[in-house]
This record gives sequence, structure tokens and C-alpha cells, in this order.
Amino acid sequence: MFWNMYKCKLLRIVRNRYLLIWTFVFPFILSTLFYFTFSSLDADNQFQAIRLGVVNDEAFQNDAMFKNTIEALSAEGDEQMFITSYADRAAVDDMLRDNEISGYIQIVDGSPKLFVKENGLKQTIMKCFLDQYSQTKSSIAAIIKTSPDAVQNISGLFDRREFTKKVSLTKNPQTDRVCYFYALLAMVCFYGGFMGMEIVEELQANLTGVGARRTVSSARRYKLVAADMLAGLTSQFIIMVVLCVYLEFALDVSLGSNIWAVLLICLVGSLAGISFGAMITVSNKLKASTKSAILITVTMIMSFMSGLMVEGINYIIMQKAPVVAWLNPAARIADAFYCLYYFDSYNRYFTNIIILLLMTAVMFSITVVFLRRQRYESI
Amino acid sequence: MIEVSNLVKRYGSLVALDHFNLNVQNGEIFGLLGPNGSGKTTAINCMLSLLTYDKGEIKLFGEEMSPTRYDLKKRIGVVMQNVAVFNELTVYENIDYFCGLYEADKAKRRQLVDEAIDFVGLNDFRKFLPKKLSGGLLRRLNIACGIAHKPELIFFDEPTVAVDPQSRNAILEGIKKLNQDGATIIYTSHYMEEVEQLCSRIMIMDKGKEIATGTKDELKTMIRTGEKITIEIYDLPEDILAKINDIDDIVNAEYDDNRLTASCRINGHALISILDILRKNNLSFGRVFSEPPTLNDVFLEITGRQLRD
Repeated sequence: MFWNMYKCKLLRIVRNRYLLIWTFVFPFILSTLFYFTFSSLDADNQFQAIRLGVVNDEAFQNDAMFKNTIEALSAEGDEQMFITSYADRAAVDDMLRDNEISGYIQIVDGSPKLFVKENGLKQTIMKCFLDQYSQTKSSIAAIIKTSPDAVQNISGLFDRREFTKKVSLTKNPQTDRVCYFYALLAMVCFYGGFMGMEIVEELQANLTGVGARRTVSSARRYKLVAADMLAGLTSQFIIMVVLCVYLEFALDVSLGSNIWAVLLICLVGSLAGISFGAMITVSNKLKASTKSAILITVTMIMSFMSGLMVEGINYIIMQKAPVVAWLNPAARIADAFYCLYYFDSYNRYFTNIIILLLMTAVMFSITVVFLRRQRYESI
Repeated sequence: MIEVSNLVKRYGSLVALDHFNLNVQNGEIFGLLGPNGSGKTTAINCMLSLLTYDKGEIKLFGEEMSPTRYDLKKRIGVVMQNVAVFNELTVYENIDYFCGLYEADKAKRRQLVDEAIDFVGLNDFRKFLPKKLSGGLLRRLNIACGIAHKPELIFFDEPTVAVDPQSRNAILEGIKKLNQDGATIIYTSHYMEEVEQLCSRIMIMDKGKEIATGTKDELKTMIRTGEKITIEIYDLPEDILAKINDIDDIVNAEYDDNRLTASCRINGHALISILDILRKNNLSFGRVFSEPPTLNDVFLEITGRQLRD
């Protein structure tokens, strides 16, 4: 009896176009859109060589030190700082006016001088370079003048030593875009609420005819609930797994290397989403369309707060209102994926899982209390 | 089979069932007749333990009914007023699903489903989804889902609403067949002719109360009007109509739209007397109809209003 109910519920989910569009098709479309939208995000954060103009006049040709420095910094490679164009003054002026270069340098009275059209990051970098160059050059000149014997040791002036060491907490590279996808996965889990909603509607005699028919049947109530919930969980879990595979292999969004941990969060997240939808549906007497609207609205708010639309909002909420952040199940799901990607330790991951399970237990208990009722005031 | 005593169900200040009593014997087709809002469906929902009630006692198969009496529920079939099937499942899958709520054995269930499909004549539509079925076929599917597990007691709650005449006849014949096969039937409707044709006993309900109960013949004896005479007459003067109204066996005679309609007392026969008066006054007349009282007459006289109010 149980497996027949389970099988039929699975069939109904698979054949329910409306449900599949929201829970299956929509996440794939959204994740693909995310991919194209955020693909440049990491690239934007990488340093890109600055287009620089140099007035190629006699003064420049005579300043071997500056010429060598510019050529060294313009050499192609990982450490290329400038893409340098050499031309006369009029030509570099034209290039600056046409935005072909961010600025140009001319040797004036023996010192390099920067010419820019506007202020910005690139102009600041060029200014810093010139300041440092001038400082180093004057230091060398002073050393030669005062201690000619120390000239052989001046190479240390060119070293840029860092006194702090950058240590990565993870083997995975830092990237901003994954957070959007993790929030998206959390949202998909909670779109499983539509399944929870349908499950409850089909069980309540005061909501649907099939609910009444099933309530008057000789099937035990708990079996009906369990079969439908299990079928809903199965389909939602499969959707999550397929989406994870799509993200990992088609969209190159890393979910970490522990597949079992990814599956666990998919399972717990799906269960939380279904329980959430079931609780929203069972706990009030509003119209089905109103319940759907509530479900979508709350899901979107929770997803927003877990970083679906604004990067870092989840961290701000965690700092300003930690209780809200911890009580947001979507944020817990997104954070669990985040932990799998960045951290080698599973402490925070399992904290998220336990919190999610506790919230699911509460939502499921509320649902069961309402669903136990088989007799109604009115139908 | 069913004993309901002093059942009271209130929706706020509205009394939906007012000390309602019902006694249905094994093997009956029992009709619950009443206008919309008379309490028929509420009574059934209370009997099925779907609705809470304020007072009273409900016994099915001699035992008190409650939501957890799964042993009793297993012996009951319900055909809902509205079609209650899953739109995503085919005809076969729907019947199999609902039959599966009662019967766990797969082989036995397959046999029951096949029999139910045969019974409602949906063999050609086994793989159809409900949205592909006409209204009549949908009703038949609704019935098959309710009776596939071969229940001993079946509630039919207005199963022929919005059904074409052919399908309606098929449904009524099917219900008779179920009864012949041993099922006790509770049938609610506001179609008089269906109840008259189908039911061995009938209860007329109004405003949540039992108004009258009996066989159709017993009910007809409860009213003062008997035979109804209709005569087509081109013109009927007022004085002649008064003479007709003076006939002993006539309860009431009216002339409207070139028709004389006269209601007789129970066991009264006034046709010859009326025709005598017409002849003596040289009044020509057309067709003459004489019909025994119908349930509609019974209902009108007992409740004072139309059944489909």
C-alpha cells in the first residue's frame, strides 16, 4: 500500500508541469543566467595592466634608468604592469584624449612627470609608481654621493619586501561568484516548498476533493503523509543533485571535493524546504494563491538575506543581527556549501546542518499536528 | 446498517443539522432528497467522520463511527459530489491508487480495478488523463474510484450533477447493479425523478431536518393531493372554473395559458365530472392528461417550496 502511494505521488510530481517549472526548470535557467552574469566577476577583481603612454623624446632616451624600468614593467608576463605606447607629445596627448591610454609620462627637467585626464585607480597606481621610482632614484643618488663604497649593496633598495605572509585557509581559490550560486541552491531547496504545499493540500479534506477521498479511506493517516513526503523529498533531492552536477560540470561552479557532504546538505535542505512549504500551507486558512504568494515572498527574502542578489549581505546580517542570520534556513544552506568550498574543517558545516535539522523538526512537527486532524469544523 | 440519532451540526448561528435522525437497513437504496443547503452533504460528511458535530450519535455497521475506525472505513465507499481524482494520473492509475488505499494485495487490486473499469464502461479510456475525458466520463471515473474496492456501504453524493442523459442512465443503472450485488446505497440528489426511479426508501430533508421518510408510495399518501388533471381549453369562463372548483374531489383548479389544471384529493377521481361540466356548457377542449402525484408534488406540498431553490 505504502509503495503504491509513494510511486503514484512520484508520478504525479513528474507529470505536474507547473511544479516542475518552478522546482526544476526555473533553477536551471536562473543558474545559467547567473553564470553569464557573474562570469566576469572574478576577472574584474584581477589586476589588469594599465595602458600607459611615454613621450619618446630625447630626454627619455637619455634617461637610461627610467627607460629600463619602464621596459621591464612593460614586459609581457604575469607581472606586467604597463602596456606602454611610445610616441611624441602630440600623439600621446591625442591618445589620452581618445581614452586609448590612462595617462602618459614625460621627462621634464630630468624627472618623470605624469599627465592624466581624470582621477581613478589606474591613475593612482601610475602616481604611486612614479613616487616610488623618484624616491628610489634619489636614494641611490644620495648613497653614491655620500658612500660610494656601498653602491654594490644598493640592489636591496629595489626589493619590495612584505613583512606579512598571505596564508590560504583552503586549497580552493578565493572567488566571489560562488556565493551567488550557493544562495541559489538554498533558494531551490526552498522552492521545494511547492511540493510541501501540494502534499498538504492533497491530504486535507477541507482543501481538496482528493484530500476528502483519502481522509475517508481506510489508509492510515501517517502512511499517507509519509508516502507523499518521501516522494516529495525524493524528487526534490534528485532535482538538487542534478542541479549540483550541472553547476559543477557545466557551469564550473565548485562545490568542494566532499561529495557526501554535498549530498547531505542537498538532502537536509530539501527536507527543510518541503517542511517549510507544508507548514505554511497547513497552518492557516488562506486561499491557495495567497499561500503560494507567501511561500515565494518568504523564500525570496530568505534567499536575499543569504546573498542571492547582493554579495556580502549575509555577512552584514551576521554581524548586525546574528540571530536573524542563524534563524534563516536559506542562509544556513548557503553557508554550508560555502564551508565545503573554503574550509577544511567541518565544524561550521555540521553546525549549519544541525541547525537546519532542528528547524526542520519544528516545521515538520507543526505540520504533523495540523495534519493529524481528520475531522473538520467545515468543509 | 446506519443509525444516526439526534445529530446536531451548527456553523456558528446556522443550524445545518437539527436533531437529524436516520435509519438505513442492509440492502437498501436510501434516497436523501432536499434542496441545496438542506443538509444532505453535511449529514453524509458527519457520517463519514469528516465533519465534527455538536451533538448526536452515529453508528455504522452497528458500531460507533470515528475518524480512526479504519476497519469500518474499509467497508465504505464514497462517490463525492465534485469529481475528486488526480489530474496527473491516467484513468487506470487513478482507480488503482484509490483502490490501493483499501487493498494492499497487488494482484487482487489489479482484478478489482479491471472490474471497476468494466463496470463504469471506461475500458477504451484506460490510459487517458482526466483532462481528456468528457464530463460524463469524468463522473464515471469518479464513481469507479469510489467503488473499486467493493464496499458494503456506498455514499453517492449527487453523482449525476452536470451529466448528459446517456451517462446519467448508465450511472443509475450501475448503482442498481451495485445494490443487486449486495451493496447498501445512500443516494443524495435534488433530481426527484432519479430518486423516485432508484430508491427503495426516501427521506425528504429541509433546513437540516427530516421532513418525511418512507417509500415513494408512502410519501405520496402523506399529501392531500392525488391525481393531477390537465385539459387544453381555448377559453374557460370564470363561472365554469368556479363550478369545477366546487366538485367534491377537487382540491384546487386553475386556468392559465389555455390549460385547466386541477388537483384531486387522494383517491379522488374528478375527470368525468370535469368533462361533464365542459360538455354541458358547450366548451370544446383538446388533449386531456391525467397523472398520479409525483415526488415533486410531495415535496412542494410538504416544504412549500421548489426543490432547486
